[in-house]
Amino acid sequence: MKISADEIASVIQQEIEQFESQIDVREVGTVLEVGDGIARVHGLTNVAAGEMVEFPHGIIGLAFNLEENSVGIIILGDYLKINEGDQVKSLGTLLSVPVGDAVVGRVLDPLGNPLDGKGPVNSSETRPVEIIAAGVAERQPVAEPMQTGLKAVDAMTPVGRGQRELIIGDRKTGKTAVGIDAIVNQKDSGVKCFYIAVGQKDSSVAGVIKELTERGAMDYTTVIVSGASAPAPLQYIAPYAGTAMAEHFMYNGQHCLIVYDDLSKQAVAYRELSLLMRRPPGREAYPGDVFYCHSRLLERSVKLSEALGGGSITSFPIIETQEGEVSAYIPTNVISITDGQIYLQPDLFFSGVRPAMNAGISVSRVGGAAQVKAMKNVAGGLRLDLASFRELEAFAQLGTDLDAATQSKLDRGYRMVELLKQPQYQPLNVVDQIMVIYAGTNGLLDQVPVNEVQRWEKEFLEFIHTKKKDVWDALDADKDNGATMKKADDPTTQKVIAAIDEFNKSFN
Amino acid sequence: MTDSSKQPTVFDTDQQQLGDVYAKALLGAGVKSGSVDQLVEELQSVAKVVSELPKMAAALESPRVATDAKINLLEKAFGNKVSKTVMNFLKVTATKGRLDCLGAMSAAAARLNDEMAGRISGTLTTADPVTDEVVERVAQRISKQIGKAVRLERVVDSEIIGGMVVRVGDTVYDGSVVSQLNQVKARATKRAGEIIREKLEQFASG
Repeated sequence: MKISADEIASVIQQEIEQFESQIDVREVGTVLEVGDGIARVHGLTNVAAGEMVEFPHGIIGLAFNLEENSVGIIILGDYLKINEGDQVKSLGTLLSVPVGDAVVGRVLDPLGNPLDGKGPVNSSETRPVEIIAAGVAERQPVAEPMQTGLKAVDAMTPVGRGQRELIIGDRKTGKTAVGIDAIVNQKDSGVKCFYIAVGQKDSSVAGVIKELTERGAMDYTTVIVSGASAPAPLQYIAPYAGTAMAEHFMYNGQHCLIVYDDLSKQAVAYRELSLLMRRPPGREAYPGDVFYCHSRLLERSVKLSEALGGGSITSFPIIETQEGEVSAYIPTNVISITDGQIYLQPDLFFSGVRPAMNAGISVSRVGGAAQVKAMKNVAGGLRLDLASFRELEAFAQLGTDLDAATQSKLDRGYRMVELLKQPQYQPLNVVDQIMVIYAGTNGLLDQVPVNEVQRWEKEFLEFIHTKKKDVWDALDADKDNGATMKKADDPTTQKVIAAIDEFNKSFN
Repeated sequence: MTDSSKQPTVFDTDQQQLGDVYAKALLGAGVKSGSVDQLVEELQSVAKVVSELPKMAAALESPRVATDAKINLLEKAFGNKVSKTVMNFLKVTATKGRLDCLGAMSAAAARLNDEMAGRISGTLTTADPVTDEVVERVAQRISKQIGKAVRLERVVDSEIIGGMVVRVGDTVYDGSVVSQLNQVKARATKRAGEIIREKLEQFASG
């Protein structure tokens, strides 16, 4: 291939010949002071809140505070290049990001600029970063399952398409892992995924991108990064920018999954901006509208009505707590906004229960309606059973003699805990999940030693996939039927029980 | 052209607010006596003299110089050159210890006076000096467009190469050669980049 200089020269010549001189009319202001990612500007008389402005060197800013004598601008770029006295030009548009197929598989900054060295994002379409979420008439109830591939989540806190399920826990409890597993599990499901890293170490984001790439998940995933070294304004707008990219797919009838990792860092960035802008501080020095900052973001996760194509955005916001303190300001805010939470606990995590989900206080407020019917029948009582097992376990530690019924309840509990453990990056198909959870809750594992449960699961699934594919297919076809796996006399249930029994005979 | 002279609007917002208050008071007094334009002009010339004499400005601004001494100084300097109203205004300002805001006051007075009279002032930047007739014609065109009388000050800046840039209030009408060249450059590089990418994609797919 040759790109001749002459050809390029002729293109440039054409551009020059066709250039029509137009007088550039713009509204301007002058930078009074600049620092810490914000600038105060005099002038810009008619600028609107949220409007884009341009500094010299093409740096973009956002009108944030409109005051009597000046305008507070947040700078989305390198503020060190801006000087006092520089001219600021208003662009007359709201902040937008490129959207469409061109962003899929890319690693971008919150303005849609590439960070992965794969060249510019070739997209002709853009969407405004901030929009008002769809209203009640444009929505429908959440009814379609969004499989995360994690047994504990899909069985006990099922998530539906269009739901916001909070992942909350201390540092190092596997919060990101839950989100990443959910993304990995969307392979071949047609769901577009967005991983939005806010205030994360660039090294950990690089690790996530590497894992996603190795598991083929980058084919349908967009990663938006504003790392710990990015200025606060970029960290603040990153979640909105990512949501705008997802909305393009949603309004075209597709399904999206967004992981916001994490919103506590975004709140901190917003607090920084607000304090620099001299907005009055409130509780924990957050500004009064930090609730609105999160609620207007998460309200954009929607299941659209059929008339609008039925697309959806499911979101997994992540919140990091300090020492398990869920009653701090930001955690309580986001808990009240979302449709449920997955609570991850450090002591469970370190005792080897991974995902370290606390079944007692993790809930899903709308997902039950969206759960696969067969799974609902199998796992309906699981969450409460597990919670009561934890209580019983604490009681049993007192060393009292236990009656046989209590002992068997404990034994079953230990096996269920083992069964719900799942290694990272190994999401399970929902049919597999239904079978193993059925075996656990119905006492078919009672003869298997506790420390052998994980081996049992692995070998049983191998057995089903290689030797009893017909049973698997039958359950897969029948899983959305309300009667499946409900009672032992159901034909599908009988097939599953027979298969488990057959395997148990050969298991040792 | 030095950098500092390029930044005529860098100022302190506190001073600007104070300037507004004092200027409003002076104009109020002027409206009563019917000599607003004259007052504004006198205040501007006083502010200009003070800004040109840094030592005098320092003495007037310093809190260590007694108010009486400041008033004496002002009377000696401007006593027979400005009207009584302006002199009184300066004395009041001195008593209140606000002589450091003199520049802001004079600018605010000029602006408020223009606003009251339905006028607006602006700048006309050209690469080479232009005649009064050109300035007048540009001012008329602009005033027709915005419906206000426009008064333009001339600025010469060789960096714009040719054409002219008019700034009225916060609006800039940019017809300079340099901005047109920048536009051509941006469009040509964008188009050339697209062509190169297309070629690369053809190469990659075929």
